[in-house]
Amino acid sequence: MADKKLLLIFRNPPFSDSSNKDTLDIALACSAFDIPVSLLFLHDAVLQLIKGQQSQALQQKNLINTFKALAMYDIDQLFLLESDLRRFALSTADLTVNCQAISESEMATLIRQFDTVINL
Amino acid sequence: MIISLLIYASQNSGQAEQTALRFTRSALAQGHKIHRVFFYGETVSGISSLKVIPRDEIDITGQWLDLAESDDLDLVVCIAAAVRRGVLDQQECDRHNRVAANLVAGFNLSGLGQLADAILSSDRLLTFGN
Repeated sequence: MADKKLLLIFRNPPFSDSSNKDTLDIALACSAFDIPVSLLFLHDAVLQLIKGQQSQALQQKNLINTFKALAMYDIDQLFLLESDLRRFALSTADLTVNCQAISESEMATLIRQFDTVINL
Repeated sequence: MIISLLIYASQNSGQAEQTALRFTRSALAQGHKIHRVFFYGETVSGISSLKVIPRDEIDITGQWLDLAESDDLDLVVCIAAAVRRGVLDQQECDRHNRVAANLVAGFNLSGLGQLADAILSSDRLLTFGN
């Protein structure tokens, strides 16, 4: 089997539909199969990384703990757009995991580096 | 080319699954190999043998089965997505002590490892989503 690099793109806000959890489950499963996985958070998806979220009031599972555990699965390449941070007046220090902020043109270059891209 | 499909859409809203079916037919007709079709998320709800389709509407699940028979397709349904939506094979029905199994015969429940394998074994993975 050929080596494949996988990029998973998150686009949806937290606590909306199941796509964020479903994408995260793909990340964990593929990592267990030794597929190198990187994550890209676009637009509203950035909001799920903000520190101090309390999902108990919504009676929903919080994905934050899973995001924090990603490093144990060797998933440490996390990207987001500088323009999204500006839009929400955030900095990477506001986020619960280490992310690299990139420009739109760097994103285009990034995506081309992957063999498989999944964007649910 | 070896191709796998990831289907992540509702049968009842949007036409992503129909597009996936038509893509599969075209790819096969052009001599490509379909390694696996992986059903994930809301798509899974429709793979129930309890579903009743009006006679003048298309039974897309039946069309996958026709294609699976003629072209030996591997139709895999994500087990976690299926069980939470009440789509069970006999083994899951027994395990969770439910009244009936309803997964359409011809589809198989399995884990996300089958998607990982599809990524590794295929030249392309195409996602048909919302």
